[in-house]
Amino acid sequence: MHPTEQKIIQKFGSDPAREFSTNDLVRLVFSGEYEEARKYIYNEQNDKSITLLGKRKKARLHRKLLYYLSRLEQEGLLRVTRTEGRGEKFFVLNADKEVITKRDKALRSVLSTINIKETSDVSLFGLESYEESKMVKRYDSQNWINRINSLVIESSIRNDINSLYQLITEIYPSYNDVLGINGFEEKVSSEDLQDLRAFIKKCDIDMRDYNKYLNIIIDLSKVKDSVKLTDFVESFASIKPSKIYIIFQANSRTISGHTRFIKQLIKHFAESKIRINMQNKDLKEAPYMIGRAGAYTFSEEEWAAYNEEFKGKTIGLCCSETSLYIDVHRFFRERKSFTEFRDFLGKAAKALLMASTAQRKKSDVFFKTINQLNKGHQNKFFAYSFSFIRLWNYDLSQFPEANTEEYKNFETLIKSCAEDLDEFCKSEETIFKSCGIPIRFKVLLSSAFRRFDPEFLSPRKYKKVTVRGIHDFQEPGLLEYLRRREELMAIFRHNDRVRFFRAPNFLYEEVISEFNFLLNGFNIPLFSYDFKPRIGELTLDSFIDE
Amino acid sequence: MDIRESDAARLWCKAMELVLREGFEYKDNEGRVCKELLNLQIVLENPLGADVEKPIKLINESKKWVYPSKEELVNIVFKEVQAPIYDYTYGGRIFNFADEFDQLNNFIIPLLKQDSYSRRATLVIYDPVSDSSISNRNTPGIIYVQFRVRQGKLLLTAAIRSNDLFFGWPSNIFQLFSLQKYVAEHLGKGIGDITIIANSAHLFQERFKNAEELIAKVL
Repeated sequence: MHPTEQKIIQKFGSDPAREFSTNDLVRLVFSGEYEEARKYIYNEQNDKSITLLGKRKKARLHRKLLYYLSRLEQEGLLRVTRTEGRGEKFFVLNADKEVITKRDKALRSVLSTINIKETSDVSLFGLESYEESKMVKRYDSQNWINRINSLVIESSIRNDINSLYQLITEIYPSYNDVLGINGFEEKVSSEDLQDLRAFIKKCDIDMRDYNKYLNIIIDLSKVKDSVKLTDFVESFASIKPSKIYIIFQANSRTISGHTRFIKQLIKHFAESKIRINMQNKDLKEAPYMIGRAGAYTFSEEEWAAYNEEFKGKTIGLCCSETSLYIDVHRFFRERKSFTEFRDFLGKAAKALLMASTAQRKKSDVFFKTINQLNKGHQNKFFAYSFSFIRLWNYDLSQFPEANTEEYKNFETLIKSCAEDLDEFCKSEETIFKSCGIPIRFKVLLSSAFRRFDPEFLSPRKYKKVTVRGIHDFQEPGLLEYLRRREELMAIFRHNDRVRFFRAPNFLYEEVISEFNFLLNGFNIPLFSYDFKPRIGELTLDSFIDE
Repeated sequence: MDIRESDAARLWCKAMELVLREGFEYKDNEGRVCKELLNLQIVLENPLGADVEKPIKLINESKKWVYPSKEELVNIVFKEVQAPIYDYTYGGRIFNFADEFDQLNNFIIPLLKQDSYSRRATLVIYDPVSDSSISNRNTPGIIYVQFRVRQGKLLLTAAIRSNDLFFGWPSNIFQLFSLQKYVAEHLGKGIGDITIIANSAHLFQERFKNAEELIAKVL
């Protein structure tokens, strides 16, 4: 048996239930060579030829590893679970004992030291037929319960940017969507720009490797040095990371206090076609995160309780544990009945409850690292987390086939379903607490992002909005649209985001006025301004279309 | 006030009926309307023949909620290693209190073996050091369980500070019976009555109708 094969198997053996990506394995199996390649890629001189050399070294390691992985796969010892992104494969250890006993003596001796378990899998109990019909899907089905979806960590939990990066790398295997760094303005003011730049570059490569997101949360009211922040933003825009978003927390007063910075922000982000994400601090103190699945946030009361009671004792807070996706359009195309939709959501909530309880039972195994990082306060880290049912294509007006007499619009239906879910969660918490299992169980409805799984989701049926100027906000159609989004925001407990496309050829002052208008005039706690052009849609009368 | 029965489901329904009929209605700190009776003593006579699993079966028949399986319920009481993600577990508090003391095997059983008339055989689930904090809402319902041997039978008394009769009581009686059997087997004694002192026996408004339906079915 080749030593590389042996090393691969040992890595799987150290965590038999875990799914490994080829990137994970390259890091673990060829750790020394991998580090060397990274040093080349992030060379201090910023020399492009050295970077290229590093990338070649990394690619060579991938090819070498894939050779052995495919050998082990052909022999049935490993199993490919899925392929993501640009063809990255994910593997699990095959628990079939027959396969193992057929292997040579050397491998058997390695395997005998490993306690092989089946990959953790909690099926969608009661939803099987819906799953087959592609009406429902688990978020990251292979790691549905052995990873949390999202978490926020405090920037201040580590003294310097390198330690913070180290912490983030430790957390990678524990989550499958987005990690938010709260209070990053503190690092912007204390760290050297070159170090911040290197941090962003490293994190973006990691996030692309792992197909995850990182959010940097900056509270503009706490920014001490707006010149440094401007430099950081400019640097960020030049890197143009694809998996890192900055979320600016602000209100109109802080916008006025940082006009020069905001102008620079608009300039750099618009030029680089990067979205500006703005959180309205007057409406929401708790941080937001934007991931592959959708937007995440906490409840205001619980965020306040966290700050008061255990901020600093844990690395941060878990925001979401498990999520399900429902393609509402596909559902109504086939089933049509509102009663059945309610029943469907009820079953989805039951499936999430089972997943949540299974996740907690095995939390020692699944979240070993997270638990170590929160030692002494492990329970607190999970105290305020949610499970999500994310809805796609939910605008009932787009379903002429559905009988909408019972519910005039989706908001009425979904509000009533959300109340049912609340009631179910309260009952289940009571049941489990009474039985001596003090679990937190809260299911929230929210909207799904298309990038969650473009292949699974039906073609987009909802509207996109382009803003050409502040006068657009006086248009009855847009106002009506925003009022509906406000209603939905409330139903989704703020776990949503409103995205605007900004038509080109603007003055920075115009966009600042639009920000102020949105911050002062609407109950929309998170909005994004997208500077990418929308193809074939730039006229006023089509500012809202499919 | 006390009620007695030798059938678990009937006892459960009688307790709920009493709360619905005589309970004091108020809104709790979470804004939930409930009816409550204070210090209700609920006695299950001869638990061996009382079908202690029946209340759980009746709840599960509705299929509206997910109730932990019987295996899970037993596991909660007997699993001594508490996952750190939980604020507490009954098993952790019973068999590994404060990470060091097995109250049942190192105290209750040896004590009752030595002195079967002892009035000291009490295991405590509530831990003031970790539970008594104003902001902590996740504290155990069962505060203490006392075992006594009288006339060759092991009697069990449990105090439950907050007892949701609809959802909580079915698992409480089942779990307490499991504990009682465990101790009785170790002592070689018969099974005597189980007394639950429900310091706050209550029903939430959302469950009034469900409780009434069950009462009509069982009583």
